[in-house]
Amino acid sequence: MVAESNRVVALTRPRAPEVSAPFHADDVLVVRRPRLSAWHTADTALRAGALARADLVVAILTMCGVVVWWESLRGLPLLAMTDIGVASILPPTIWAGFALVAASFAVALRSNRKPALVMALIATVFVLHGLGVVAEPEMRFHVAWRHIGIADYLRARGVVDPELDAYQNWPAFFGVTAFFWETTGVDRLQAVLAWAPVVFNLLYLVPVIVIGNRVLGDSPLVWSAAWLFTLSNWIGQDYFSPQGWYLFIYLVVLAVLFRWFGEPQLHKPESGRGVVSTGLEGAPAITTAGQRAVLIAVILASAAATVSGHQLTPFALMFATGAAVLAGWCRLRLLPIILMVGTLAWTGYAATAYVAGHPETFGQLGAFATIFEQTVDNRLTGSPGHELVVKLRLLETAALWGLAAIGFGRLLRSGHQRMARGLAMLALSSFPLLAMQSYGGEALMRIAFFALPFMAILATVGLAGAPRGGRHRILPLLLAGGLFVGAFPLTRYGNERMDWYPPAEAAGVHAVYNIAPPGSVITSVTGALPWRSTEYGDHDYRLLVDGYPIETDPDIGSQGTVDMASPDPTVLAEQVESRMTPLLGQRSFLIVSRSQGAELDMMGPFAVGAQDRLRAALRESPAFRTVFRNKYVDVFELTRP
Amino acid sequence: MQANHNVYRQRRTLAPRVLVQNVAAATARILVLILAVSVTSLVAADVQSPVRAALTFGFLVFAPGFAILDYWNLSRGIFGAVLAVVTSFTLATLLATAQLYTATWSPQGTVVVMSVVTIAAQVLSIMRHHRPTALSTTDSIQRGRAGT
Repeated sequence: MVAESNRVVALTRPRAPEVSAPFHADDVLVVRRPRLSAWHTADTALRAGALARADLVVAILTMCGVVVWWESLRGLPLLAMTDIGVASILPPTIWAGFALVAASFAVALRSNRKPALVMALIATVFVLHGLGVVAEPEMRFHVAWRHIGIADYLRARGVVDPELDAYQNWPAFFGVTAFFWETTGVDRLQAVLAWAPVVFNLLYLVPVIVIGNRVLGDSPLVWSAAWLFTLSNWIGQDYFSPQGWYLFIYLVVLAVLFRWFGEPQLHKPESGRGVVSTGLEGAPAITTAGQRAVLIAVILASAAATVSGHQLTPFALMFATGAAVLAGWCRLRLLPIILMVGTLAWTGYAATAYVAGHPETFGQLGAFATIFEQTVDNRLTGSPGHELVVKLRLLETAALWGLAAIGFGRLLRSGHQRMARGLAMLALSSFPLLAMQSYGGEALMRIAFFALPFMAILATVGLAGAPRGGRHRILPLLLAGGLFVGAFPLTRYGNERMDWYPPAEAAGVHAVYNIAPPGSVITSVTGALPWRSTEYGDHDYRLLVDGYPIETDPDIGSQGTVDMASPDPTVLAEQVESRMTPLLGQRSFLIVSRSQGAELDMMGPFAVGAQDRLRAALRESPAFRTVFRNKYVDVFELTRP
Repeated sequence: MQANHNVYRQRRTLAPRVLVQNVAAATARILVLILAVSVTSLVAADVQSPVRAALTFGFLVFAPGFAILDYWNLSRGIFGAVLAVVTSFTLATLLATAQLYTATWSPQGTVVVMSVVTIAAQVLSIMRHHRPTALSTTDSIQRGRAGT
């Protein structure tokens, strides 16, 4: 009867010495617990019932929220969108959908039930990051279309051409896309890859939670940090892109390091006398030598794929692993050095064609003022609606970083000095990237992207309190989360007027490829166009607004922005003609579309309606003829070579 | 008598949870093997169908990494699954990139290579996890039952 009177429970990790079965590291142990009273057993059952009810409540809330959200997005009047983006056309009911999903997370957090939290987080990702996917008829954002074109180029040719552009010097991401495309035989990749933001944001959550568990070791805080991470990811780098994918790899590498290669935790709390702590709260995983070898191989292989796939992420990974080593959270002390050598070797060997052709890329080293001007000041231009969106983005980022600073202070005050220092070092580890180059004016955004997971963890501490410090304050966290949810349609989808494409616009662009023979010049007014997703290397692609200063000379040549504010339509047409001039025997086409007009109206540098003036000038000019036209797209061909 | 108590305790504890986990792991191993063989056959026969697309994608994003990590008991849980995805993608990335630089582009051949790697790793993993000397939970029960 002794056996019946003892309760036994299975655990996945050795916690107590009272082991009653032989085991190895990953086996399951049987641990004996003391006899429980009848009252305790009944209480546990009641609690179990109550918690199961919490799961049900969360399931109902998320389902209702998603259904309301989905129904609100049906028939959204996308053409009526203003310069503040998708928020200008959202019906009031969608806010009810957001509120229900946010409420589901609040209930899940209070219950601290994993199934409920998982459901609420998935629903949060879906309604926030899936908004653009569900509401829009075509894959959003022109760069994603271009990335498909690069994969298509590699798929068709089977070799890289480093002379073509930067992508061909860091081709790993596009190579694996081409490989998957070829082997699966998918016809229309856009329909699948439109879901990249949802998939990427779901993937990010797993390593973020693993890192949170290892660092904070406090379940409600960890799930809250994951929630805050999702809500504050307005940065929009999670479309089908190398940086979107490699942020996931970056997080997984760090999660593996912290989980399996963190310094062993000797004792806690940190402030105790005669004890040493690494600042990592969660228990380290037990590994064998073989497991460690395999994990190191996975880390190095992932790093190699990152080095050959993206310019910026290897540097961010190098800085982050360096910060982890300095914080005492990573025993692989050579890893940052290996990453540095690998990154420099790739840049100096495999990417020499790009480096030699673009010396200006490295000319900005240390030029903080110029880089800051390009990354912040230049973005604070455009229409009032667009300026409002940019300011909101900056405000939200500043608010998150401010909350993170408060969290840092809270950790220090609560005796978690090493944890505070380690998290701060990781959050700030990507900031040296700002000293390297402006990265096309995106450096600050990319830094915010890499810093976001750690900023979110610190901000959660700032809002809810230090880990294992008694009751957490959920209300400030939920209020801040509510504000982030409310701002999300503005901050994340603020550029949507130029980033979405009606099917007729995509069809209009496709029509150009049916008309243009290989080797043609294809010119676009701005880059905001679903083009180059096919025949990427077959044509000579040019832009009228190319980021260089506005030129007034009719013979503008291959560089400089065409002056669309020119009072003389003849001069404007001559500038366009000069830009489009083909080589002998080539044909030359110009695409003028709705989304480009939206970009010009939002971003400038011309007054609203610039594209209409351009279109009128080209229709009047004898040098051009219209070869295709629909509701959203005009295609002109240069008739005078 | 004490041995019998241990057996009783172990059976009560392990049956509902651990054995389910072991069955799930064994099922996953067999499914990965079936998937590897199916995908290799579909690619070798050059079958064009949506089934091929779904199976091939499912196989390539998960199976090679799972098979390799499973041998080392690193594929368990959600993070284990994510690690399997990362490993599979990384393997595919490195192979595809190497082919692009050496002008040996062969997606179908790569699928076959990855299938062979998967089958080999998975067979080794099955042999490791089911060999008689392994200290698996099933073994523990059997030993307990035998009074050893």
